[in-house]
Amino acid sequence: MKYENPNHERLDEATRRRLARLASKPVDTTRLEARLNKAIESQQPSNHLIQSTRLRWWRPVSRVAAMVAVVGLIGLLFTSMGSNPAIASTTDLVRVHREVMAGEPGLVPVANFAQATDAIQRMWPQAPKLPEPTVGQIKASCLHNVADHDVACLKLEFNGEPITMVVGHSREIVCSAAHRQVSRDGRTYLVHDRDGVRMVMISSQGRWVCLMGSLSIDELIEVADGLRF
Amino acid sequence: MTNDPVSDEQQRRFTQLAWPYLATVLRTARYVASSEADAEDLAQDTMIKAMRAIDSFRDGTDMKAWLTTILKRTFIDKLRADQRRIQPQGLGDVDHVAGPNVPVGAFDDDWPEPEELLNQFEDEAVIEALKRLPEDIRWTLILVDVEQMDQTSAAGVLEVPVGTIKSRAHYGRKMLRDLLYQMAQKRGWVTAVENPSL
Repeated sequence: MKYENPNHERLDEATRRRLARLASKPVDTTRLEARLNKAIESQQPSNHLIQSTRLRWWRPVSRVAAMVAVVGLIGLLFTSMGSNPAIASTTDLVRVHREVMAGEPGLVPVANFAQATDAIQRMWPQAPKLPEPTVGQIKASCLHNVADHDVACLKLEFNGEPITMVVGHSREIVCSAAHRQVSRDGRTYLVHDRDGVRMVMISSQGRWVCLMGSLSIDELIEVADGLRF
Repeated sequence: MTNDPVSDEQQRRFTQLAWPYLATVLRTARYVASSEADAEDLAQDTMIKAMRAIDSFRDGTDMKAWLTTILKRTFIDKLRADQRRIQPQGLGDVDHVAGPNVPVGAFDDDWPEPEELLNQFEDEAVIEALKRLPEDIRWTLILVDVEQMDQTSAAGVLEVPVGTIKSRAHYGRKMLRDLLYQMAQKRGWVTAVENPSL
């Protein structure tokens, strides 16, 4: 583009930079995420319908019993679809972090990721598959409750500082609204700072993960970047 | 677009590749939709379409451009459904935004310190001005300047030649500056120009 006047190039560049700044304006996606999670659930194949098709060939008594089960399943499905994901408040998360740091009684010491996964699975068979941290050391695991939903917690250590990693089902838990976003290597992190506890959250592949501690946001993102989903 | 259930693999690819761009999709939707509710509907429809079509996304290509293309088509479909027509505007059709007798770029010689003055505007004011621009020009500025998409990708999304993108971006920035300059005048940040068209 040729400029009629050298001032126009300066003006254009300044306008470009001002518009580019709009992209760093935080976007609260909480409500949209909740709506999408609900919509995605409704797009899943309905196993109960497949089952009911097969039931046509069953003996009548078995069919009646099976239909009762199917009706129950449908009821359960509707109940679960009707509930919105809960918002994980940063206050709740700070509480969880402090309890983990204080070495609460439920904390199980572990030496590696396999042990942590086993411990969580024993306590909570429906737990989401934990993303594997590839940086930092795993020290302990436990279960907690955030916004009336179970979450798995790992105590990690990175650069000599403790971190709490909380993992829940993203259909049950979404991030709270006040946040800014940081994008790195194609992943988008939601960042919070509450009562001196820094938090980095990400939702990926059906899982909601929060990493928190007194480390800098960059260090927490480094740990989050290393998570293997 | 079918209504077949989405497979686990489709969902996995979608959450891995498209989900990180949720904020970008919502932001763009907010700049083109007329209300917050419309923007959320538009962003949701876009993401659901993207999940269903994720098999057609080729790994290694630009996910942001792919999602933006879906967003733009969804936006146009919604306008058509509302029985409103998009009027494609050539640059010659739009010769002013600041007033009937004010040619585009009329205030350009009057900007004292452009960087400083532009930074005085809060984001909401810049967005308001952006929303007053003609559709095609607004889309171009959103893609090229806000989302920092390269001009070739933007041309692909908007289905126009790269040259058109360059002209629209240049012309659009001038229009935006005209609107912002008038706001600055109203706020008393700059002295009103008597006859900017001269």
